[in-house]
Amino acid sequence: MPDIRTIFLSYLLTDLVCLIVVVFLWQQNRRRFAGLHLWIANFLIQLAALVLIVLRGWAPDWASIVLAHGLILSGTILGLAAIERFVGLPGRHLHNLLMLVATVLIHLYFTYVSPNLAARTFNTSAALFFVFFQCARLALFRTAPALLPFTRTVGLVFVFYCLISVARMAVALFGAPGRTDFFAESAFEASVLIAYQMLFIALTFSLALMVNGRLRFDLFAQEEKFHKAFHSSPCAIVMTRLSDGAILDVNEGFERLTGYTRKESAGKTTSEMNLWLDEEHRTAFLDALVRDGSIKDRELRLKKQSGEIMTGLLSAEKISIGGQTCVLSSINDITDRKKMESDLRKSEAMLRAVMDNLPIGVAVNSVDPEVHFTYANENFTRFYKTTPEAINAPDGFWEAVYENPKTREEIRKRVLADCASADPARMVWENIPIERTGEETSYVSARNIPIPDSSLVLSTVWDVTDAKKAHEEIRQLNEALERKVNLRTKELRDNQLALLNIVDDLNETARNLALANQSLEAVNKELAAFSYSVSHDLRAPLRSIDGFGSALLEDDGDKLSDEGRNYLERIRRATQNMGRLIDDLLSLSRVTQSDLEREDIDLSAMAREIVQTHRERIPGSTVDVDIEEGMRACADPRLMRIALINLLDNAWKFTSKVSAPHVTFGATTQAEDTVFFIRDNGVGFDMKYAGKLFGTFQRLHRTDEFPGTGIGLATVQRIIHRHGGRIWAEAEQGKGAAFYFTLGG
Amino acid sequence: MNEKIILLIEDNPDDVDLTLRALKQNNILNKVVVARDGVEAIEYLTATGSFSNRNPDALPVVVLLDLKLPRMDGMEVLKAIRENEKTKRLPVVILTSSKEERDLINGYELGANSYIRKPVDFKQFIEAVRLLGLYWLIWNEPAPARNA
Repeated sequence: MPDIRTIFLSYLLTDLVCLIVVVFLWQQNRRRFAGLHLWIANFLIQLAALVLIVLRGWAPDWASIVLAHGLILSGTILGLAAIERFVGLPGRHLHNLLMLVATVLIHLYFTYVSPNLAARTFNTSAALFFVFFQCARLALFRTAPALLPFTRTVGLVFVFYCLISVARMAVALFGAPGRTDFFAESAFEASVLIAYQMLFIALTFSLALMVNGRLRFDLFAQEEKFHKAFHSSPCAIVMTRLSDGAILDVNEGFERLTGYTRKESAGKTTSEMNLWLDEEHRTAFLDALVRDGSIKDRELRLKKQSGEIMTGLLSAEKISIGGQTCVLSSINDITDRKKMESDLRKSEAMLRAVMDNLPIGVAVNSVDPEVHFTYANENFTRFYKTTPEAINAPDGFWEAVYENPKTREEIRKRVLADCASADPARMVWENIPIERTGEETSYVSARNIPIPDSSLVLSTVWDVTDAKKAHEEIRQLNEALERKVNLRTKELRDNQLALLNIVDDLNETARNLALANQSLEAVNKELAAFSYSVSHDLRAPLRSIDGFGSALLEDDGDKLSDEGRNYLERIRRATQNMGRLIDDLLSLSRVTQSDLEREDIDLSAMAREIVQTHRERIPGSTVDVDIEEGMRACADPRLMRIALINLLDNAWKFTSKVSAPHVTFGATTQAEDTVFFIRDNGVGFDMKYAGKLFGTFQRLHRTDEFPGTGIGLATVQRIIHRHGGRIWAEAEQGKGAAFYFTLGG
Repeated sequence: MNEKIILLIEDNPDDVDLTLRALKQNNILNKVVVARDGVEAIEYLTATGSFSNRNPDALPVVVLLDLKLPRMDGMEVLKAIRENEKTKRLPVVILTSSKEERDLINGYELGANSYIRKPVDFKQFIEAVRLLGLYWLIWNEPAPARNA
């Protein structure tokens, strides 16, 4: 049976060796991982405790028993804290400290008040179990999943510690009592101590494994990160050997940029690949690299595999890999940027050319607190009547432009306030006077346009002197015009009033006319009734006179004297004449009253019919009638028949006494009007009396020469007039007459 | 029905006498019944009123009708004649002073068989009556009596 003290001594030595291992672990990894120093502290404290225990008997009991217990427990708590730090979960340890104080007090009690080795062993084992359990739980369950593979072994070691502590507690509680000497032979206690010793070695070993495992993992992750950074960088990265320039590796960016694949470029030099446009550039690059160790953003031109030339920014670093000096170069393709720069320069040049030659003044400047010009074209200073030098003097603009200090301050205040408002509507200033002593004042208008994303404004100015003058002239003209318009308006108003009065009068007249029309209609109706009455009633007595006169002649004619019979005959003739007069008057009245209904009529045919009827009525007539063919007119057929009958009857009547009577009905054209005529070779008449020709009851011949009522031509005239036409006659005494008429419409 | 009666409807006694004289002068010796107005004429034709004892079937051979009549004018008489089943085929000659177009049109529209305007000249009137008598009393064949 090994001596317990010997076992402790061996334990002590093991602890010492383990301490050394932990110190090495700490020394190598202290920068990478937290909490390693706590392990050293733990192991040191355990060592001290073991020394105290080994010296039991020589050392006082408070040190060997109570202090040793406290130290072991403290060291174990530190171990817990060390794991917590390592996995990044540092916790508070108040409960552990309370437990420490409590067990130390218990230990004191069972040392001095009631010395009991079994109780002390139980106390120590329980306290240790409390901490071991926390350690096992932390390493097996609380640790982040990524770190679990590394802490699992440590956790298992602590599980064993827990089991041993439980076993020791059980033995202390239920084992054979009586053991009072700590170092007395005990197979169980010896086994426990050996197990503790083994576990201590296992713990140290697992700690080393844990640190190592994590170290490996971190390295792998690092390598992965670098690999990814290298290969997926948008930059072209190439790694070359400095000694011979051979390419070691290139990334995808390089493949994209140059067109050469990784395989194609591996082992070749950049010169072999013909990447450099100019070999001298390469030499200069290498010299600078060797001299400075690194190069930053050197602009160079490279030839791609396709032969295309590109501009790139090259940065390079001399690095050491596996003992050989290498060059890590990264190339940034700035071809597009270069082109943009060039385009920008061109567009700037164009913009400048445009601004230089604009007919208005343009400047780019700040306003507040000081007017500072970045650019101003020639017109800008010209319109402001100043010079580039004057406005470019520090805040010299106001003084250069506004001569009068009072005006200057007013305008300056106003412009600054307007600009501060940032309201585009307020950044327009019109008709600003530019005064110069001894010169005519000119006027300008100005407008400021803020340039986005800068504190600058685009100031524009244009001369409005002429426009202002023109405007003034227009204003004066307008005023004059307005005065004239007012005058004319007044005149017009007066005229209008006069017109209105006339309109009133006209309305009155129209009303009167309407009234007159009404009464006229009434008169017309009366006249129609009158005509009807005349036709019946006036003729009846005439018939009686003629009838009975005739009867008297027939029945009692023999009883009358010749003279009496003659009188009766004359009465009868007068009666019949009266009858004809009534008929003609009725005819005239009808012509006046009936409605005019125009239609296309064949006047030639109508005239032939009339002649035919006439010949039938008077069989002995010898008149030669000549009617022109195809005379047509748009007229009222009934009225035209009456007119033609009258005219033709007239012609026959007045030709009845010539030897070769001849009547012509024809048409001619006068000034676009169709003129119809009926001409005869009868007795004619004296043109002196032509005016009386168409009057009612007017006659130019004696009734005993040519019978007639004097109503026929009046009727004809009325018919022609109703058609809107004219009728006139030409005649010569003894040589015939001609009647002409037109039909209007 | 052997007697060929002429019905003269005329209010003016002068015209009645002159017409009778004209008939006589032309040797037209038929019986002439004179009605002095339209009502009397219709009473005669329909055998009513003062003519109620007359044989209604004995109709005149021709009616000479003046237009301007008291009580019932000529046009109304003509209309009544044409509307009566018994008299509608009766020859009616309008014998008047009017030559108004509307009288001519109305007369023919109402079914007048002839329209004669009385001339002022009595000689012409005698001639007209002669022709009239000749035509209606001699040459014209009247419509057969319905119940003959």
